[in-house]
Amino acid sequence: MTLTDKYSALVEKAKQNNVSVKEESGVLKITGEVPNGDIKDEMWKIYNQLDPNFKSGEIVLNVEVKSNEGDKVKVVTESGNLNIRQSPGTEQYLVGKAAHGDILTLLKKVDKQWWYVRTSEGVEGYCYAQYLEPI
Amino acid sequence: MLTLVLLLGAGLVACDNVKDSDLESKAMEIMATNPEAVNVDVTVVDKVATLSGSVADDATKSFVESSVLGVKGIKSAINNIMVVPPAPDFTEMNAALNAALPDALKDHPTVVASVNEGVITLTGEVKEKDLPMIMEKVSALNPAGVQNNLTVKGK
Repeated sequence: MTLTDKYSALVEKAKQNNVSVKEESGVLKITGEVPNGDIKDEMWKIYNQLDPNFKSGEIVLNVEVKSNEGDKVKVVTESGNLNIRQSPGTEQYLVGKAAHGDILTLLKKVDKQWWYVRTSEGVEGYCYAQYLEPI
Repeated sequence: MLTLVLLLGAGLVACDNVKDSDLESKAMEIMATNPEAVNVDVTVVDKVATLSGSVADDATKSFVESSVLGVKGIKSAINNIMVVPPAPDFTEMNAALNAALPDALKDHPTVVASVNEGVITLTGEVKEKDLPMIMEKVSALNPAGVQNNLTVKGK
């Protein structure tokens, strides 16, 4: 059974959303943008069903929700505040915090890890992108 | 007219008289000028070139064949060159992953990550509810693979 067969439900979902699926050295790399957070969450759910607790090492699921500079993004920490920093990096100075569920404005995507945002109070700084979800 | 025919005939004879070894030398000279064809060998028998050895990709394989066919006197070529892609160099990827992992795992102090040949290996203990976020964070670094050896304890 090929990886594409084994993970056919995930591959199908990826293809429905024009997300790239490539097999490289025994790993299925699923990479791209999806229209919303529900589809991203569903893909992770399918992955977890096909490979409980993600143990196989056969998949790299790297999908992000499509977003543009100027879009609103929601803070999706588990429950706590999200740090807003002066520069990209967890060692950088804090300039503010955003609460779980807060809506921020995405000003610039520095890279896949760090986005420059502005709060409704006008505080600007860098947040870790995995805790932000475009709405 | 007779002179012309004789001259043409002489030319043909001269062309046929080119030795296979000379054609082989010419072909190998061309190979020597192409850094991507250093592992290619050419033998010529009855004006037919046989190509062997290895190159990195299909485009080079085709290019080498057309170069050999460009040698005047070689009639055809048998292309037995094998395409062997070079082993990937993970130096840059490993460095980028090692640089990004501390930020990605800052909120997960019980997780230990190591990187080898572009693959992130995770060890330690985590709560089940934190696992998807950890996997999402390390996968977003675009590694060659993620080997999750985390022990899941509790919800």
